[in-house]
Amino acid sequence: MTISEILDRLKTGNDRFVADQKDGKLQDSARRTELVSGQAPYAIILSCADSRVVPELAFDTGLGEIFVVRVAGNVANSSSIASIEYAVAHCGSSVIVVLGHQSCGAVTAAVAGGNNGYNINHLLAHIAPAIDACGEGAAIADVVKKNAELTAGDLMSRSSIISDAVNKGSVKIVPAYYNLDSGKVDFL
Amino acid sequence: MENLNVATTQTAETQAALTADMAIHLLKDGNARFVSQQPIERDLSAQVEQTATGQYPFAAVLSCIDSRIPTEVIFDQGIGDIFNARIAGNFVNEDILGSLEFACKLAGSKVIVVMGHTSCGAVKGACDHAKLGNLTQMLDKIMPAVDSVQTAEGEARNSSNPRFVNEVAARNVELTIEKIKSESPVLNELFEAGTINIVGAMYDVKSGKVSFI
Ligand SMILES: [Zn+2]
Ligand SMILES: [Zn+2]
Repeated sequence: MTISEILDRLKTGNDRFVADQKDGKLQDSARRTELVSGQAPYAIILSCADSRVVPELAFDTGLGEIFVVRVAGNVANSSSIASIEYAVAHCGSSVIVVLGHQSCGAVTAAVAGGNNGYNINHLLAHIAPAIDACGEGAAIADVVKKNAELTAGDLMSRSSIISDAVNKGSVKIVPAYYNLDSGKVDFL
Repeated sequence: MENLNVATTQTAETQAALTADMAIHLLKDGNARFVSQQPIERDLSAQVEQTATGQYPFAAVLSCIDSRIPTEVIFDQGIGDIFNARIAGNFVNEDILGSLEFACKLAGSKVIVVMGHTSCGAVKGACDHAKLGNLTQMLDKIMPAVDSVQTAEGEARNSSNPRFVNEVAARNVELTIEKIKSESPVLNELFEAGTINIVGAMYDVKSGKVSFI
C-alpha cells in the first residue's frame, strides 16, 4: 500500500467506527494462523493510554494491521521512539500517526501543574513544551494538538532511523486528534 | 458474577462494585469469547457517547506494541474498559509507570496485567543482542530476563530457539512486575492495601489464548 492508500484505509476505517458499522474483519483464528510466522503492519499509532481511545476500534483494524504504542499523553521518550524505530526498520510500516485526544487527562494534569510524584512528574514533563508553545490560558484541546505536533517533531529530531525514512519519502508522520464525544479522528 | 453484564459501559458505580478478582475474571471470560470467536455485540457509538465525559476502566494492561495483539480485541472489551500502556517488550520506564499510576490512582483500575507474548520481536532482538539506534537502549531493559533464563548444554540462547525466546518473555513479565512494585511507591501501596492486584500473563499468538501466570 502507498502512504495515501494507508491514510485512506485509516480514514475509511474511522468512518465505519463513527457510523457504528465496523466490519470486524481479520480477527479470527485463520488470521492468527496467517500471522504466526510474522507481521507486516502498514501503520504505527502512538496514542494515549486512555481507555476510551482504542486505535484498533477507532480505525476498525484487525490483527496484524497496526502497531500500537501507548503511553499517557502520547509522548515520545527513548522507549516509545525505539518501539517506532523497530516498526519502521524491521517491519516496513510507513505511516506513523501521533494521536492526541479531547480532554486528555495527562495534558490536563500537566497544565494544572503541581507535584504528582516522581513517575507522573517525569511523564508530564514531556508535555511542558506544548504548554509553553500555546501560552497561558490556552484551551486543553489546543495543547493536545500542539503536543501531537511537537511529538511528531521529536520523532524526527531524536531518531535518524525515522528521519531518514521520512526524508526518503518512505515514511510519513501525521499528527491527529481523536474526538471523545464522536469517535472521529481529525488528521491535523 | 453471572449477573455482570459485560457489554455494559463502565461507570463510577460499576467500577466501584468490582474487585481485582472480578476484573481478572472479566478479562478471562472475554479472552475465552475471543478464542471461541463469539464476541459480544457492542454498541460502540453508544459507548463513545457514554464515556465522553469520564473513564472508569476496570483494568490496566501493559503489553507489547505487536500488531497481532490488539488488547481490547483479544479480551473482547469495548470503549472505556481497559487503560492500556504498550511498548515493545512490555517493560516499564518512568513514563509507563506514570501511566499505570494514572490508571490505578486516578482512573480507578482494579488490576494491572503485565502481558508478554510468544514470538515477541523485541524479546528476540534482546536474545540476539541486536544493536540499532534507540533500540539498543530499549533492548537493554529486557537483558535481565535473557540472562536469568537457563538453557541445557548446547541449547541455543538466541532467537533460533523458540523455547528460550518464550521463556525469556515470561521471565520478563515476572521481572517487570517486580520492577513495578519496587519503582512505584504509589502502585506498591495500592497493591499492599489490596486495592489493586498486579498479575502477569502470556498471550499465545497462535491459539489466541491468554494464560495468567
Ligand atoms: Zn489522554
Ligand atoms: Zn512483542
